[in-house]
Amino acid sequence: MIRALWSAATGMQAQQTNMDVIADNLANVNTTGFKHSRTDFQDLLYANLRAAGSETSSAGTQLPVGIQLGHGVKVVSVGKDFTQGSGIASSEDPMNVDMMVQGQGFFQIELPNGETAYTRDGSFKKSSDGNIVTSDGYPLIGAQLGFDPNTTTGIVVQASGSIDLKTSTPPGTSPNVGQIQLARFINPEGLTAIGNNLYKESVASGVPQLGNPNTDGFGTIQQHYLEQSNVNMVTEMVNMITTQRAYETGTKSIQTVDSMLNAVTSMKR
Amino acid sequence: MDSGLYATVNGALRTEMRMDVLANNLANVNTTGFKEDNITFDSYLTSPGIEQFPLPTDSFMGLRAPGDISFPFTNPASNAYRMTYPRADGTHVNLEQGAMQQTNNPLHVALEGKGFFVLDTPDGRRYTRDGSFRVNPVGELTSKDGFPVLGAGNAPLVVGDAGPIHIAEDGTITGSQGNIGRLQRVDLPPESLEKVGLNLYSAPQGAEIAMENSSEGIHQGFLEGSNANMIRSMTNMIDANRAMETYQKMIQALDSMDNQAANQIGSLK
Repeated sequence: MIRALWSAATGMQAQQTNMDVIADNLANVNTTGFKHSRTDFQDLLYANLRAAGSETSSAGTQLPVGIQLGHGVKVVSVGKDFTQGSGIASSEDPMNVDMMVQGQGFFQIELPNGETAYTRDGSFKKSSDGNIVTSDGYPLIGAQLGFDPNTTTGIVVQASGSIDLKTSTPPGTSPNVGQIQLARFINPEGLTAIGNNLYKESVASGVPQLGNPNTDGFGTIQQHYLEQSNVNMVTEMVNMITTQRAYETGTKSIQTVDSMLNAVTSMKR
Repeated sequence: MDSGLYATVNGALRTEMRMDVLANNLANVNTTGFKEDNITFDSYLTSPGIEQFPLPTDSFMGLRAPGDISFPFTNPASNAYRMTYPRADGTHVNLEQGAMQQTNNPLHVALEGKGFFVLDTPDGRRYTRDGSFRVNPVGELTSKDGFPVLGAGNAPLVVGDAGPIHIAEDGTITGSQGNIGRLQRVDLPPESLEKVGLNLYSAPQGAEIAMENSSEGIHQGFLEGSNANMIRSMTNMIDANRAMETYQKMIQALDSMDNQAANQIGSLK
Protein backbone atom coordinates (compact mmCIF):
# COMPACT_ATOMS: atom_id res chain seq x y z
CA MET A 1 0.00 0.00 0.00
CA ILE A 2 2.87 2.33 0.78
CA ARG A 3 4.09 1.35 -2.69
CA ALA A 4 0.78 2.57 -4.15
CA LEU A 5 1.12 5.81 -2.24
CA TRP A 6 4.55 6.48 -3.72
CA SER A 7 3.51 5.35 -7.20
CA ALA A 8 0.73 7.91 -7.10
CA ALA A 9 3.17 10.54 -5.85
CA THR A 10 5.58 9.88 -8.74
CA GLY A 11 2.63 10.28 -11.12
CA MET A 12 1.74 13.64 -9.64
CA GLN A 13 5.34 14.84 -9.73
CA ALA A 14 5.71 13.81 -13.36
CA GLN A 15 2.50 15.61 -14.32
CA GLN A 16 3.71 18.69 -12.49
CA THR A 17 6.85 18.72 -14.66
CA ASN A 18 4.67 18.19 -17.71
CA MET A 19 2.56 21.17 -16.71
CA ASP A 20 5.71 23.30 -16.29
CA VAL A 21 6.73 22.41 -19.84
CA ILE A 22 3.27 23.08 -21.27
CA ALA A 23 3.09 26.45 -19.52
CA ASP A 24 6.50 27.35 -20.95
CA ASN A 25 5.38 26.31 -24.44
CA LEU A 26 2.19 28.37 -24.18
CA ALA A 27 4.09 31.36 -22.84
CA ASN A 28 6.26 31.23 -25.97
CA VAL A 29 3.47 30.87 -28.48
CA ASN A 30 4.50 34.18 -30.07
CA THR A 31 8.28 33.89 -29.62
CA THR A 32 10.08 34.03 -32.98
CA GLY A 33 11.95 30.83 -33.74
CA PHE A 34 10.80 29.12 -30.53
CA LYS A 35 10.70 25.33 -30.57
CA HIS A 36 8.24 23.62 -28.30
CA SER A 37 9.31 20.99 -25.78
CA ARG A 38 7.77 17.65 -25.03
CA THR A 39 7.93 15.76 -21.76
CA ASP A 40 8.58 12.05 -22.12
CA PHE A 41 7.71 9.57 -19.41
CA GLN A 42 8.85 6.09 -18.55
CA ASP A 43 7.59 3.54 -16.09
CA LEU A 44 9.86 2.77 -13.14
CA LEU A 45 11.32 -0.55 -12.10
CA TYR A 46 9.04 -3.43 -11.22
CA ALA A 47 9.14 -5.60 -8.13
CA ASN A 48 8.99 -9.24 -9.13
CA LEU A 49 6.99 -10.90 -6.34
CA ARG A 50 6.63 -14.11 -8.28
CA ALA A 51 8.82 -14.66 -11.29
CA ALA A 52 7.12 -16.19 -14.30
CA GLY A 53 8.80 -19.37 -15.37
CA SER A 54 9.81 -20.49 -11.89
CA GLU A 55 9.21 -24.16 -11.24
CA THR A 56 6.10 -25.11 -9.38
CA SER A 57 6.79 -28.80 -8.95
CA SER A 58 9.52 -31.36 -9.20
CA ALA A 59 7.90 -32.49 -12.44
CA GLY A 60 9.15 -29.30 -14.01
CA THR A 61 5.83 -27.48 -14.31
CA GLN A 62 6.31 -23.74 -14.49
CA LEU A 63 4.43 -20.66 -13.43
CA PRO A 64 2.89 -19.28 -16.60
CA VAL A 65 2.58 -15.74 -15.26
CA GLY A 66 4.40 -13.90 -12.52
CA ILE A 67 3.45 -11.03 -10.28
CA GLN A 68 5.04 -7.71 -11.10
CA LEU A 69 4.21 -4.60 -9.17
CA GLY A 70 5.28 -1.27 -10.62
CA HIS A 71 6.56 1.75 -8.78
CA GLY A 72 5.11 4.55 -10.87
CA VAL A 73 6.54 6.85 -13.45
CA LYS A 74 9.43 9.22 -14.08
CA VAL A 75 10.23 12.01 -16.48
CA VAL A 76 12.95 10.72 -18.77
CA SER A 77 13.48 13.76 -20.93
CA VAL A 78 12.17 17.12 -21.93
CA GLY A 79 13.12 17.37 -25.58
CA LYS A 80 12.72 20.16 -28.09
CA ASP A 81 10.87 19.45 -31.28
CA PHE A 82 12.72 21.20 -34.10
CA THR A 83 10.05 20.93 -36.75
CA GLN A 84 9.75 23.98 -38.95
CA GLY A 85 7.60 26.83 -37.69
CA SER A 86 5.49 28.68 -40.22
CA GLY A 87 6.85 31.80 -41.86
CA ILE A 88 5.32 35.19 -41.40
CA ALA A 89 6.08 38.09 -43.69
CA SER A 90 7.64 41.11 -42.03
CA SER A 91 8.39 44.54 -43.45
CA GLU A 92 9.55 44.71 -47.07
CA ASP A 93 11.73 47.73 -46.20
CA PRO A 94 15.02 47.26 -48.13
CA MET A 95 16.99 47.86 -44.94
CA ASN A 96 15.02 45.24 -43.00
CA VAL A 97 17.21 42.24 -42.17
CA ASP A 98 14.60 39.89 -40.74
CA MET A 99 15.27 36.38 -42.03
CA MET A 100 14.12 32.84 -41.53
CA VAL A 101 15.69 29.49 -42.29
CA GLN A 102 13.54 27.21 -44.36
CA GLY A 103 15.17 23.89 -43.48
CA GLN A 104 17.32 22.42 -40.75
CA GLY A 105 20.11 24.95 -40.28
CA PHE A 106 20.77 27.35 -37.43
CA PHE A 107 22.17 30.88 -37.57
CA GLN A 108 25.53 31.25 -35.82
CA ILE A 109 25.78 33.98 -33.22
CA GLU A 110 28.95 35.18 -31.53
CA LEU A 111 28.46 35.57 -27.79
CA PRO A 112 30.27 38.35 -25.88
CA ASN A 113 32.61 35.72 -24.36
CA GLY A 114 33.72 34.64 -27.84
CA GLU A 115 31.75 31.37 -27.87
CA THR A 116 29.36 30.51 -30.66
CA ALA A 117 25.65 30.07 -30.02
CA TYR A 118 23.00 28.92 -32.48
CA THR A 119 19.52 30.25 -33.08
CA ARG A 120 16.49 29.92 -35.32
CA ASP A 121 15.37 33.42 -34.44
CA GLY A 122 16.15 35.59 -37.47
CA SER A 123 14.74 38.87 -36.21
CA PHE A 124 18.07 40.60 -36.74
CA LYS A 125 18.84 44.29 -36.38
CA LYS A 126 21.53 46.60 -37.67
CA SER A 127 24.14 47.89 -35.26
CA SER A 128 25.53 51.42 -35.32
CA ASP A 129 28.82 50.12 -36.71
CA GLY A 130 27.12 48.55 -39.70
CA ASN A 131 26.86 44.92 -38.65
CA ILE A 132 23.88 42.57 -38.47
CA VAL A 133 23.20 41.64 -34.85
CA THR A 134 20.55 39.89 -32.74
CA SER A 135 18.05 41.82 -30.64
CA ASP A 136 20.60 41.56 -27.82
CA GLY A 137 23.32 43.07 -29.99
CA TYR A 138 25.29 39.84 -30.50
CA PRO A 139 26.78 39.71 -34.02
CA LEU A 140 25.53 37.27 -36.64
CA ILE A 141 28.63 35.42 -37.81
CA GLY A 142 29.40 36.12 -41.48
CA ALA A 143 27.45 39.36 -41.50
CA GLN A 144 29.99 41.83 -40.12
CA LEU A 145 29.51 44.14 -43.06
CA GLY A 146 30.73 47.44 -41.67
CA PHE A 147 28.45 49.34 -44.01
CA ASP A 148 27.97 53.07 -43.80
CA PRO A 149 24.42 53.75 -42.62
CA ASN A 150 24.34 57.10 -44.36
CA THR A 151 25.00 55.83 -47.87
CA THR A 152 23.48 52.37 -47.73
CA THR A 153 19.98 52.12 -49.13
CA GLY A 154 19.43 48.39 -49.06
CA ILE A 155 20.69 45.07 -47.71
CA VAL A 156 19.86 42.01 -49.78
CA VAL A 157 20.30 38.58 -48.24
CA GLN A 158 20.19 35.87 -50.91
CA ALA A 159 18.71 32.44 -50.34
CA SER A 160 22.30 31.15 -50.50
CA GLY A 161 23.31 33.41 -47.60
CA SER A 162 25.42 35.88 -49.54
CA ILE A 163 24.76 39.52 -48.75
CA ASP A 164 24.67 42.36 -51.27
CA LEU A 165 24.68 46.04 -50.37
CA LYS A 166 22.87 48.73 -52.32
CA THR A 167 24.40 52.18 -51.96
CA SER A 168 23.36 55.66 -53.05
CA THR A 169 26.87 57.13 -53.28
CA PRO A 170 28.20 55.82 -55.52
CA PRO A 171 24.89 54.50 -56.84
CA GLY A 172 25.00 50.77 -57.41
CA THR A 173 25.30 47.36 -55.76
CA SER A 174 28.35 45.86 -54.11
CA PRO A 175 27.77 42.11 -54.28
CA ASN A 176 28.89 39.45 -51.80
CA VAL A 177 30.03 41.68 -48.94
CA GLY A 178 29.17 38.95 -46.48
CA GLN A 179 28.33 35.24 -46.41
CA ILE A 180 26.08 33.74 -43.75
CA GLN A 181 26.82 30.10 -42.99
CA LEU A 182 24.35 27.84 -41.27
CA ALA A 183 25.08 25.11 -38.73
CA ARG A 184 23.43 21.72 -38.68
CA PHE A 185 23.46 19.10 -35.91
CA ILE A 186 23.01 15.35 -36.06
CA ASN A 187 20.93 15.48 -32.90
CA PRO A 188 19.44 18.98 -32.50
CA GLU A 189 17.37 17.70 -29.54
CA GLY A 190 20.67 17.44 -27.67
CA LEU A 191 21.36 21.18 -27.93
CA THR A 192 21.41 23.14 -24.69
CA ALA A 193 18.92 26.00 -24.64
CA ILE A 194 20.51 28.97 -22.89
CA GLY A 195 17.61 31.42 -23.15
CA ASN A 196 17.28 34.48 -25.39
CA ASN A 197 16.28 32.04 -28.17
CA LEU A 198 19.88 30.74 -28.23
CA TYR A 199 21.30 27.22 -28.10
CA LYS A 200 24.76 25.90 -27.45
CA GLU A 201 26.28 22.69 -28.71
CA SER A 202 26.63 19.80 -26.28
CA VAL A 203 28.11 16.32 -26.23
CA ALA A 204 24.71 14.95 -27.16
CA SER A 205 24.07 17.31 -30.06
CA GLY A 206 27.37 16.46 -31.75
CA VAL A 207 29.68 19.01 -33.33
CA PRO A 208 28.05 21.44 -35.75
CA GLN A 209 28.49 20.92 -39.45
CA LEU A 210 28.80 24.24 -41.23
CA GLY A 211 27.74 24.99 -44.74
CA ASN A 212 26.29 27.57 -47.04
CA PRO A 213 22.52 27.84 -47.17
CA ASN A 214 20.82 26.22 -50.12
CA THR A 215 23.28 23.31 -50.13
CA ASP A 216 23.22 19.84 -48.66
CA GLY A 217 20.07 20.08 -46.54
CA PHE A 218 21.08 23.20 -44.63
CA GLY A 219 17.98 25.02 -45.81
CA THR A 220 17.57 28.35 -47.50
CA ILE A 221 17.45 31.84 -46.04
CA GLN A 222 14.42 33.96 -46.74
CA GLN A 223 14.79 37.64 -46.05
CA HIS A 224 11.76 39.67 -44.92
CA TYR A 225 10.25 36.61 -43.25
CA LEU A 226 10.32 35.43 -39.64
CA GLU A 227 9.85 31.89 -38.39
CA GLN A 228 6.99 31.72 -35.94
CA SER A 229 6.99 29.63 -32.82
CA ASN A 230 6.13 26.00 -33.63
CA VAL A 231 3.94 25.73 -30.54
CA ASN A 232 0.57 24.34 -31.52
CA MET A 233 -2.03 25.81 -29.19
CA VAL A 234 -4.57 23.05 -29.75
CA THR A 235 -2.02 20.33 -28.96
CA GLU A 236 -0.85 22.17 -25.86
CA MET A 237 -4.42 22.68 -24.64
CA VAL A 238 -5.21 18.99 -25.10
CA ASN A 239 -1.96 18.12 -23.31
CA MET A 240 -2.98 20.44 -20.50
CA ILE A 241 -6.31 18.64 -20.12
CA THR A 242 -4.71 15.19 -20.02
CA THR A 243 -2.07 16.46 -17.60
CA GLN A 244 -4.67 17.90 -15.27
CA ARG A 245 -6.75 14.72 -15.34
CA ALA A 246 -3.71 12.55 -14.80
CA TYR A 247 -2.77 14.72 -11.85
CA GLU A 248 -6.27 14.34 -10.44
CA THR A 249 -6.16 10.55 -10.70
CA GLY A 250 -2.95 10.77 -8.67
CA THR A 251 -4.76 12.60 -5.91
CA LYS A 252 -7.57 10.03 -6.06
CA SER A 253 -5.08 7.19 -5.71
CA ILE A 254 -3.60 8.88 -2.67
CA GLN A 255 -7.01 9.53 -1.13
CA THR A 256 -8.01 5.93 -1.71
CA VAL A 257 -4.83 4.57 -0.17
CA ASP A 258 -5.32 6.92 2.73
CA SER A 259 -8.86 5.72 3.22
CA MET A 260 -7.71 2.10 3.05
CA LEU A 261 -4.97 2.73 5.56
CA ASN A 262 -7.57 4.36 7.75
CA ALA A 263 -9.66 1.20 7.50
CA VAL A 264 -6.59 -0.81 8.45
CA THR A 265 -5.78 1.25 11.50
CA SER A 266 -9.35 1.05 12.73
CA MET A 267 -9.46 -2.73 12.45
CA LYS A 268 -8.32 -2.81 16.05
CA ARG A 269 -10.63 -0.83 18.23
CA MET B 1 -7.87 -18.47 16.88
CA ASP B 2 -10.59 -18.37 14.32
CA SER B 3 -9.26 -19.26 10.90
CA GLY B 4 -11.74 -16.78 9.42
CA LEU B 5 -9.50 -14.06 10.76
CA TYR B 6 -6.59 -15.29 8.69
CA ALA B 7 -8.67 -15.64 5.55
CA THR B 8 -9.80 -12.05 6.02
CA VAL B 9 -6.28 -10.80 6.57
CA ASN B 10 -5.28 -12.63 3.41
CA GLY B 11 -8.01 -10.84 1.53
CA ALA B 12 -6.89 -7.47 2.89
CA LEU B 13 -3.31 -8.13 1.81
CA ARG B 14 -4.46 -9.04 -1.71
CA THR B 15 -6.48 -5.83 -1.85
CA GLU B 16 -3.39 -3.89 -0.95
CA MET B 17 -1.53 -5.52 -3.81
CA ARG B 18 -4.38 -4.70 -6.15
CA MET B 19 -4.18 -1.07 -5.08
CA ASP B 20 -0.43 -1.08 -5.85
CA VAL B 21 -1.13 -2.22 -9.40
CA LEU B 22 -3.91 0.34 -9.87
CA ALA B 23 -1.77 3.21 -8.57
CA ASN B 24 1.02 2.25 -10.97
CA ASN B 25 -1.40 2.13 -13.91
CA LEU B 26 -2.78 5.52 -13.02
CA ALA B 27 0.68 7.03 -12.51
CA ASN B 28 1.41 5.99 -16.09
CA VAL B 29 -1.70 7.36 -17.84
CA ASN B 30 0.52 9.72 -19.84
CA THR B 31 3.46 7.37 -20.44
CA THR B 32 4.10 6.72 -24.13
CA GLY B 33 3.54 3.10 -25.07
CA PHE B 34 2.63 2.05 -21.52
CA LYS B 35 0.49 -1.07 -21.17
CA GLU B 36 -1.54 -1.43 -18.03
CA ASP B 37 -1.28 -4.40 -15.70
CA ASN B 38 -4.15 -6.44 -14.39
CA ILE B 39 -3.75 -8.54 -11.30
CA THR B 40 -5.79 -11.70 -10.95
CA PHE B 41 -6.55 -13.73 -7.89
CA ASP B 42 -7.39 -17.31 -7.37
CA SER B 43 -8.04 -19.21 -4.22
CA TYR B 44 -6.41 -22.17 -2.69
CA LEU B 45 -8.13 -24.71 -0.60
CA THR B 46 -6.81 -25.80 2.71
CA SER B 47 -7.96 -29.05 4.18
CA PRO B 48 -6.28 -29.32 7.53
CA GLY B 49 -5.91 -32.84 8.87
CA ILE B 50 -7.24 -34.30 12.07
CA GLU B 51 -3.80 -33.98 13.59
CA GLN B 52 -4.00 -30.19 13.37
CA PHE B 53 -7.45 -29.76 14.82
CA PRO B 54 -8.27 -32.83 16.91
CA LEU B 55 -11.47 -33.18 18.84
CA PRO B 56 -12.26 -35.82 21.35
CA THR B 57 -14.60 -38.24 19.75
CA ASP B 58 -16.84 -38.68 22.74
CA SER B 59 -17.32 -35.24 24.16
CA PHE B 60 -17.63 -31.60 23.30
CA MET B 61 -14.59 -29.54 24.21
CA GLY B 62 -13.61 -32.13 26.74
CA LEU B 63 -16.59 -31.40 28.96
CA ARG B 64 -18.65 -34.17 30.31
CA ALA B 65 -22.12 -33.70 31.45
CA PRO B 66 -22.85 -34.76 34.99
CA GLY B 67 -23.81 -38.33 35.19
CA ASP B 68 -21.75 -39.24 32.23
CA ILE B 69 -24.33 -38.55 29.60
CA SER B 70 -22.71 -39.30 26.35
CA PHE B 71 -21.92 -36.62 23.85
CA PRO B 72 -25.10 -35.94 21.90
CA PHE B 73 -23.62 -35.34 18.49
CA THR B 74 -22.49 -37.88 16.04
CA ASN B 75 -18.84 -38.38 16.49
CA PRO B 76 -17.11 -35.34 14.96
CA ALA B 77 -13.66 -36.52 14.20
CA SER B 78 -12.23 -33.06 13.95
CA ASN B 79 -13.27 -29.44 13.91
CA ALA B 80 -11.05 -28.93 10.93
CA TYR B 81 -13.03 -27.70 7.99
CA ARG B 82 -12.00 -26.75 4.53
CA MET B 83 -11.26 -23.10 3.89
CA THR B 84 -10.40 -21.24 0.78
CA TYR B 85 -7.84 -18.48 0.94
CA PRO B 86 -7.46 -15.85 -1.76
CA ARG B 87 -4.09 -15.45 -3.39
CA ALA B 88 -2.66 -13.40 -6.21
CA ASP B 89 -1.86 -15.66 -9.12
CA GLY B 90 -0.32 -13.16 -11.47
CA THR B 91 -0.13 -9.77 -13.10
CA HIS B 92 -0.99 -9.72 -16.77
CA VAL B 93 0.01 -7.07 -19.25
CA ASN B 94 -2.99 -5.82 -21.17
CA LEU B 95 -1.71 -5.35 -24.73
CA GLU B 96 -4.73 -3.43 -25.98
CA GLN B 97 -3.84 -0.68 -28.45
CA GLY B 98 -3.25 2.77 -26.95
CA ALA B 99 -4.58 5.93 -28.56
CA MET B 100 -2.52 7.40 -31.42
CA GLN B 101 -1.21 10.86 -30.68
CA GLN B 102 -0.02 12.97 -33.58
CA THR B 103 3.27 14.77 -32.89
CA ASN B 104 4.52 15.36 -36.47
CA ASN B 105 8.05 14.66 -35.28
CA PRO B 106 9.70 12.58 -38.03
CA LEU B 107 11.53 10.50 -35.41
CA HIS B 108 8.31 9.46 -33.66
CA VAL B 109 6.75 6.19 -34.73
CA ALA B 110 3.75 4.30 -33.43
CA LEU B 111 2.92 0.65 -33.88
CA GLU B 112 -0.55 -0.26 -34.92
CA GLY B 113 -1.57 -3.72 -33.87
CA LYS B 114 0.72 -6.32 -32.41
CA GLY B 115 4.45 -6.25 -32.01
CA PHE B 116 7.35 -4.38 -30.46
CA PHE B 117 10.39 -2.41 -31.53
CA VAL B 118 13.69 -4.09 -30.64
CA LEU B 119 16.41 -2.21 -28.74
CA ASP B 120 19.99 -3.23 -28.19
CA THR B 121 20.75 -2.66 -24.50
CA PRO B 122 23.76 -3.65 -22.40
CA ASP B 123 21.50 -6.32 -20.83
CA GLY B 124 20.56 -7.78 -24.19
CA ARG B 125 17.60 -7.40 -26.46
CA ARG B 126 14.75 -5.37 -25.00
CA TYR B 127 11.36 -4.65 -26.49
CA THR B 128 9.29 -1.50 -26.42
CA ARG B 129 6.13 0.08 -27.82
CA ASP B 130 7.51 3.55 -27.11
CA GLY B 131 8.55 4.90 -30.51
CA SER B 132 9.74 8.35 -29.41
CA PHE B 133 13.16 7.86 -30.92
CA ARG B 134 16.02 10.26 -31.41
CA VAL B 135 19.41 10.30 -33.05
CA ASN B 136 22.63 10.01 -31.06
CA PRO B 137 25.81 11.98 -31.86
CA VAL B 138 27.10 9.18 -34.09
CA GLY B 139 23.90 9.25 -36.09
CA GLU B 140 22.19 6.06 -34.89
CA LEU B 141 18.48 5.93 -34.23
CA THR B 142 18.10 5.33 -30.48
CA SER B 143 15.53 5.25 -27.72
CA LYS B 144 15.37 8.11 -25.23
CA ASP B 145 17.87 6.27 -23.07
CA GLY B 146 20.31 6.00 -25.95
CA PHE B 147 19.77 2.29 -26.69
CA PRO B 148 20.14 1.74 -30.45
CA VAL B 149 16.99 0.71 -32.28
CA LEU B 150 17.64 -2.45 -34.25
CA GLY B 151 16.77 -2.81 -37.88
CA ALA B 152 16.17 -5.95 -39.83
CA GLY B 153 19.21 -8.19 -39.48
CA ASN B 154 19.92 -6.75 -36.00
CA ALA B 155 21.94 -3.86 -37.42
CA PRO B 156 21.61 -0.41 -35.88
CA LEU B 157 19.91 2.13 -38.12
CA VAL B 158 22.26 4.97 -39.04
CA VAL B 159 20.13 7.92 -40.07
CA GLY B 160 22.43 10.67 -38.81
CA ASP B 161 23.25 12.84 -41.75
CA ALA B 162 20.51 11.75 -44.05
CA GLY B 163 18.43 14.89 -43.66
CA PRO B 164 14.72 14.48 -43.12
CA ILE B 165 13.77 10.84 -43.04
CA HIS B 166 10.64 9.08 -44.17
CA ILE B 167 9.40 5.93 -42.48
CA ALA B 168 7.01 3.85 -44.50
CA GLU B 169 4.16 1.80 -43.03
CA ASP B 170 6.24 -1.37 -43.27
CA GLY B 171 9.06 0.29 -41.30
CA THR B 172 11.35 1.02 -44.23
CA ILE B 173 13.36 4.17 -43.52
CA THR B 174 14.40 6.37 -46.42
CA GLY B 175 16.64 9.41 -46.20
CA SER B 176 17.77 11.85 -48.84
CA GLN B 177 20.61 9.43 -49.70
CA GLY B 178 18.23 6.52 -50.23
CA ASN B 179 17.30 3.46 -48.24
CA ILE B 180 18.63 3.35 -44.65
CA GLY B 181 17.11 0.16 -43.38
CA ARG B 182 13.96 -1.23 -41.92
CA LEU B 183 12.70 -1.11 -38.34
CA GLN B 184 12.66 -4.54 -36.80
CA ARG B 185 9.28 -5.53 -35.46
CA VAL B 186 8.70 -8.70 -33.50
CA ASP B 187 5.73 -10.07 -31.65
CA LEU B 188 5.95 -11.74 -28.26
CA PRO B 189 3.44 -13.93 -26.50
CA PRO B 190 1.92 -11.87 -23.65
CA GLU B 191 2.84 -14.44 -21.01
CA SER B 192 6.53 -14.22 -21.92
CA LEU B 193 6.71 -10.47 -21.27
CA GLU B 194 8.45 -9.14 -18.22
CA LYS B 195 8.37 -5.42 -17.55
CA VAL B 196 11.77 -4.05 -16.66
CA GLY B 197 10.92 -0.33 -16.40
CA LEU B 198 12.04 2.43 -18.82
CA ASN B 199 9.06 1.41 -21.01
CA LEU B 200 10.97 -1.78 -21.82
CA TYR B 201 10.08 -5.45 -21.73
CA SER B 202 12.34 -8.44 -21.65
CA ALA B 203 11.41 -11.89 -22.85
CA PRO B 204 13.12 -15.25 -22.69
CA GLN B 205 15.23 -16.27 -25.64
CA GLY B 206 13.29 -17.88 -28.43
CA ALA B 207 10.02 -16.23 -27.53
CA GLU B 208 10.14 -13.85 -30.47
CA ILE B 209 7.70 -14.29 -33.32
CA ALA B 210 8.89 -12.66 -36.53
CA MET B 211 6.52 -10.08 -38.02
CA GLU B 212 8.26 -9.33 -41.28
CA ASN B 213 5.22 -9.63 -43.45
CA SER B 214 2.77 -8.03 -41.11
CA SER B 215 0.08 -5.94 -42.72
CA GLU B 216 -0.26 -3.85 -39.57
CA GLY B 217 1.17 -0.41 -40.01
CA ILE B 218 3.96 1.64 -38.50
CA HIS B 219 2.99 5.30 -38.42
CA GLN B 220 5.57 8.06 -38.61
CA GLY B 221 4.82 11.30 -36.75
CA PHE B 222 2.62 9.53 -34.21
CA LEU B 223 3.15 8.12 -30.74
CA GLU B 224 1.08 5.46 -29.06
CA GLY B 225 -0.37 6.77 -25.82
CA SER B 226 -0.75 4.80 -22.62
CA ASN B 227 -3.60 2.29 -22.63
CA ALA B 228 -4.19 2.70 -18.90
CA ASN B 229 -7.94 3.09 -18.68
CA MET B 230 -8.83 5.79 -16.18
CA ILE B 231 -12.48 4.83 -15.78
CA ARG B 232 -11.74 1.17 -15.21
CA SER B 233 -8.91 1.97 -12.81
CA MET B 234 -11.02 4.45 -10.84
CA THR B 235 -13.86 1.94 -10.57
CA ASN B 236 -11.43 -0.74 -9.47
CA MET B 237 -10.02 1.67 -6.93
CA ILE B 238 -13.47 2.30 -5.42
CA ASP B 239 -14.00 -1.44 -5.37
CA ALA B 240 -10.67 -2.02 -3.63
CA ASN B 241 -11.44 0.70 -1.12
CA ARG B 242 -14.83 -0.82 -0.26
CA ALA B 243 -13.33 -4.31 -0.09
CA MET B 244 -10.81 -3.05 2.42
CA GLU B 245 -13.63 -1.57 4.51
CA THR B 246 -15.46 -4.88 4.35
CA TYR B 247 -12.39 -6.70 5.60
CA GLN B 248 -12.09 -4.13 8.34
CA LYS B 249 -15.68 -4.83 9.47
CA MET B 250 -15.12 -8.58 9.30
CA ILE B 251 -11.99 -8.34 11.40
CA GLN B 252 -13.80 -6.13 13.90
CA ALA B 253 -16.67 -8.60 14.07
CA LEU B 254 -14.38 -11.58 14.53
CA ASP B 255 -12.42 -9.63 17.11
CA SER B 256 -15.56 -8.83 19.05
CA MET B 257 -16.60 -12.50 18.96
CA ASP B 258 -13.22 -13.51 20.32
CA ASN B 259 -13.54 -10.76 22.88
CA GLN B 260 -16.86 -12.16 24.08
CA ALA B 261 -15.47 -15.68 24.11
CA ALA B 262 -12.50 -14.62 26.16
CA ASN B 263 -14.14 -12.22 28.56
CA GLN B 264 -17.81 -13.11 28.91
CA ILE B 265 -18.25 -16.85 28.49
CA GLY B 266 -15.69 -17.63 31.10
CA SER B 267 -16.59 -14.92 33.55
CA LEU B 268 -18.04 -15.68 36.95
CA LYS B 269 -20.94 -13.50 37.85
